[in-house]
Amino acid sequence: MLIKELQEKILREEITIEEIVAGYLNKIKDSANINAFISLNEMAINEAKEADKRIGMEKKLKPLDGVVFAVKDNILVKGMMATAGSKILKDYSATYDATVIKRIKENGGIVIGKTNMDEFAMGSSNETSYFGLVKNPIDNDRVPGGSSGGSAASVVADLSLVALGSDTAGSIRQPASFCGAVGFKPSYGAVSRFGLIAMCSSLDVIGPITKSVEDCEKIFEIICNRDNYDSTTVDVIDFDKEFDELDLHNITIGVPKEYFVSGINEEVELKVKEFIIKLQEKGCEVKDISLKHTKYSLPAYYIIMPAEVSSNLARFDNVRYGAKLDDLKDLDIKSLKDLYFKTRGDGFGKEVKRRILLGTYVLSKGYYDAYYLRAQKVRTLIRKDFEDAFESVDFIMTPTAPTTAFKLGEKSNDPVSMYLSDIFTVPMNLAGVPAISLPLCKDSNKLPIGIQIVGKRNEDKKLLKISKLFEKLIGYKYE
Amino acid sequence: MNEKEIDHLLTLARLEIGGKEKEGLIDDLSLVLKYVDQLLEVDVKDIDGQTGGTDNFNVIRNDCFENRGFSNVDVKNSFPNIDGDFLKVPKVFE
Repeated sequence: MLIKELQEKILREEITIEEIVAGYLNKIKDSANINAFISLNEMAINEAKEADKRIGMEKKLKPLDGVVFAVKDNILVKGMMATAGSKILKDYSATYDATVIKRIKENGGIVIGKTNMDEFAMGSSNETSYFGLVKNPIDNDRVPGGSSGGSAASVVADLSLVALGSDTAGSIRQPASFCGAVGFKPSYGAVSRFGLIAMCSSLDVIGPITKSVEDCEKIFEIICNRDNYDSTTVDVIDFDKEFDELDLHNITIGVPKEYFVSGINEEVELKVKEFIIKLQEKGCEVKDISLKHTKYSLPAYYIIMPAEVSSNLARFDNVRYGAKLDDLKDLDIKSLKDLYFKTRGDGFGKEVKRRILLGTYVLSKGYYDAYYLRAQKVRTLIRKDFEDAFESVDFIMTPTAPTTAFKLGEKSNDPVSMYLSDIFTVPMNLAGVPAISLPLCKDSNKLPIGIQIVGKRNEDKKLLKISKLFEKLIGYKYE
Repeated sequence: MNEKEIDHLLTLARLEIGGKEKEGLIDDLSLVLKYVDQLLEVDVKDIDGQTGGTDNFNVIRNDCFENRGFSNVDVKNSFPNIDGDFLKVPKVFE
């Protein structure tokens, strides 16, 4: 059900918010095997009752009344756990609301729980969480994608109406694609990162995961734009025109040849191309373009991101965040040095340690120029590829991921193979442009295939409007 | 990458890990470094590297006290080890 329909039901007194929240809490209990949640909001029912009382008196709704959110566990919700899927933060409780949460709450939204995620957002399968892996609701033997696997699973399994995730290289879009949901990564800076546990500060973006673009739009309207607490935020460009089929005649779609290369699953390629042809038949101009530095995106990312990770995770040294000394007796801590070395060695998982060390290496004396500086220059070229492309096309269309959801355990022993899951999503983070994944169809194994639409930087609202039209033309059926 | 280099990185990163884990890490890091070496193919002459994700200029304000609405009590209660108003840590010198 969409937000609009739900809110109409609330106003007609056909359902209360308390009933909505209670319904989700029951469903979450029944779906414990998916392991989508790390913690639940014990105050959710009370918050729902307060909302019902207010609506009973005022007879009108705030924009997000009745909307139940699952929130990725790297976004701070005051009074709730914020673990980032890590052992090192397993006892940490947030002392303030992230700006996105503050804005959601002010507009009536209710957080039902904090979702499971790859540890510190490092992963593409939600298999690295200290709190156990998440299962894809469509096929429990497969991954939901990552790192916002819990959020995507929650929406698709109807454990919440909508969810918030974070996307640094595809962590909203790829799980949305694997589970069959809409996943939107806004432009860098369009949504405040205040209260997001930082992974890679120059790439991280918070965004919604929903079952419709209209719901994505409603949430984005509330969470977007400047925040004084995050000086990297910007106001996105306003755009309120609704597109219809006739408008397709005035739209040019760019199809980058670098995204249709060997290694991509045949059915994924076929279905995406079929939809592009359908748009062409309806009057869209479709243009072959080249984003020529595409293949260097992932290598550049695997230098820039670990560098920032090594800096951002330096704060986790068991002084301000961590375990009580009494609970660390088996680590045999005799000094401050032991505290740092042993709790970090014990508290971080394998992938996190891998990336911290990689980052430390590329920033160290003798390697900084060869790796980090070079990667930042390649990043400029990648950004320019998109800017140049948008001189002659309005939107760019690609598959979201090279495959559908793979089996649990299939890629966990081969880091580079796992990293390649993000090959179609990471360039957009490096360029800072907005991108959305829409569920396109299911393949012959009944697994969802996602299609990605990319817009010009800061033209998020225009991208959402055109995506609403594409969504209608796709006609995806949620089970 | 060899053990000596890994040990140096572990010291810089303040990480202590055991023997078997260390071996695995040497292999993994070597794999990743080989993968990222592709960047050497790119001509980056005369290209300015990005310094972050934003085009914004940094915000400067006067260095004066502002009430940001954080509760001292909440923040202190979130520390793992406290002694009154102080953070408690093990002794610095061994």
